[in-house]
Amino acid sequence: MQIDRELDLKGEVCPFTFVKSKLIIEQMDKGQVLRVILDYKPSVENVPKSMEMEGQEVLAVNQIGENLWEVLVRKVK
Amino acid sequence: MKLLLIMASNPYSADFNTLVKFARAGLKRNDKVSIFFMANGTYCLLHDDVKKLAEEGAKIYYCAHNANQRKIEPQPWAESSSMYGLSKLISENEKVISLS
Repeated sequence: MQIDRELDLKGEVCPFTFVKSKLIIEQMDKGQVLRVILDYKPSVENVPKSMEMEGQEVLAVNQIGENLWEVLVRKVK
Repeated sequence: MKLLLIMASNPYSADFNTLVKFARAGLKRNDKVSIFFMANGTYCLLHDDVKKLAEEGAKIYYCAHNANQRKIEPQPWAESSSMYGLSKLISENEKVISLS
């Protein structure tokens, strides 16, 4: 899968994890994929949820380390 | 009616009693009752009365970040949410009451 933008949010907590993700996805084109790196469990639950509420497509939420996750989001609107 | 109660006070406050009474009154008249717990209100998730409200039909949401900061474990009958989730709930409900 082609990743168009990557956002490293290690050390960030809610609500900044979603706010920063939203600001980046607003700059992207429809169809592009954003990869968000998170190390804060509550954000791993709620960033994808909020993205879906925004009308974006969450492609995957993968644990990639002991306390590290990636969220893949395709911009739909 | 769609009623949203936002609770930021702790479970030992007068607001908690008000919250439970408001929620029960809403459920009794078949309102769709949602409750969002935030800040010290997340401690209410440890109170049996809130679990009972969930069993009676109230939809329970909480700020996952606030709960995590207070080391409050997720409850299966409560939905993890966020400030963004709260903003959506506010726009979806007809009446919003904030207790803080």
